[in-house]
Amino acid sequence: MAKFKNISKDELTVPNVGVVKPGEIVEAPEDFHNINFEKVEESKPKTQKQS
Amino acid sequence: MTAYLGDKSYLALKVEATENTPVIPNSFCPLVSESVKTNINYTADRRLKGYDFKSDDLLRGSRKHEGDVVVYPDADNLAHFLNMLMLKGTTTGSATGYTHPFTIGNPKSYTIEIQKGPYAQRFWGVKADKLKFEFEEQKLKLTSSIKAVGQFSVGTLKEALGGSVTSLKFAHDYDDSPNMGLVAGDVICVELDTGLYQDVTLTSVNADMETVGFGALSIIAAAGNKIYLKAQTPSYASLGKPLLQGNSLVGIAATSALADTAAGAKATATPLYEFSFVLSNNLMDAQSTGSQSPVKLIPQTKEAQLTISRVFEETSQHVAWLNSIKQALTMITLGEVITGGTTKEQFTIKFHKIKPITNDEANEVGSLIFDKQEMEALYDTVDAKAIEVSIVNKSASGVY
Repeated sequence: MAKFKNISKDELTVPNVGVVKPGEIVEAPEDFHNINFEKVEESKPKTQKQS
Repeated sequence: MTAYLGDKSYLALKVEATENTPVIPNSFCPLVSESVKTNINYTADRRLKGYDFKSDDLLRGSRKHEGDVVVYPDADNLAHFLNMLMLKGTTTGSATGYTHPFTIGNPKSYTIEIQKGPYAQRFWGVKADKLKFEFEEQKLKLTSSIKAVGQFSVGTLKEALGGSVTSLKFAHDYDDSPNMGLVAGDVICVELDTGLYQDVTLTSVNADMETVGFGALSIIAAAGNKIYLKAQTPSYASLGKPLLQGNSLVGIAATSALADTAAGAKATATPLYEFSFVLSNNLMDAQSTGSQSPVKLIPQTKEAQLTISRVFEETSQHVAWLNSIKQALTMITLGEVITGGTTKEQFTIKFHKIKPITNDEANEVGSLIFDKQEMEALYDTVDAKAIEVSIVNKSASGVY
């Protein structure tokens, strides 16, 4: 599974996902592909320098 | 092997900012059926080569991209199809009801996608040749006969890929501009030598007409491996309900203004038991230099015909037919209340001048007599127009 953000101005109904509000981030299968959504890359946890 | 159910298919569409320049369609419309296809017009190569059989190969002819798309349109999607056939005027209104007027004139072009299993077939430069409106079990059914100037669906690799790559080239078997139809942001699937497919998000569609670029990926694939345009997962933005026959009122009168008034109330409207009409653009898709497909689609003579069936109650329609008397017809179909206000979606079509070509009043055992008419829509010299359409819906101007 991966995270996708609704980048459209519309509330979208997506089969097998549900209703997604504008700007909302939802989980969907990795191969999810819809031009109204943008994949959200997981940010890596920051590593702290050891003093 | 995987089998694919047609039910999972979608129709996606988007108006092109520049005519015949593809875009990625982002509005989805549920299909009833479709039959849009590319006809390559292959013929057997009958050149004399000394074989004792008809032919050893096929030769390409002029390509056409055309077919029918059938939908039960809601007010938002109906405006897309009208935008492919007519000229949209200035949109007015607000989020509680935008009014989009359409008049006779040159339409916008669209890019559409139709899913076929894992791949999407994209057509661009799409315009409507003909729109047929009819009522089927209450629902307004729209059959759009469309034509396109090109398609992209599948292709093959021109050159092998090995290791980290940032571009690939399409083979030229189908066309000498094989990357046409793709757009930066598209996802294509490339067959790897392992048999699996790699998703590739395009960052460029190059001007050499064969190369596409993307962020560095490790791909091992041989020349000839298959590539297809990845189908999208559909999404529906507040999909409206289909427009209904029961929410339609038809006014028929001597002038368009009187027909508008008659269509304003059930008491003055004429109940029609059968009502369908066809609006045609007669698109020219002739071959020319510059493309194996039609290089552009140009509307020719606009025309419209109507089919009407109403109960025969008096002689007026018989007289109208015999004496070729002008009538005008207005249909107003209301939809749902638009969220946030009290305005209802509305589809209004006005035929300013119609005359019956045929008027059948058949006597059949046990049946009422009906006026069954085939009408020709005509240009009205008084109103200086033939047809006017307006749509009230929740979609802002930029959508069309």
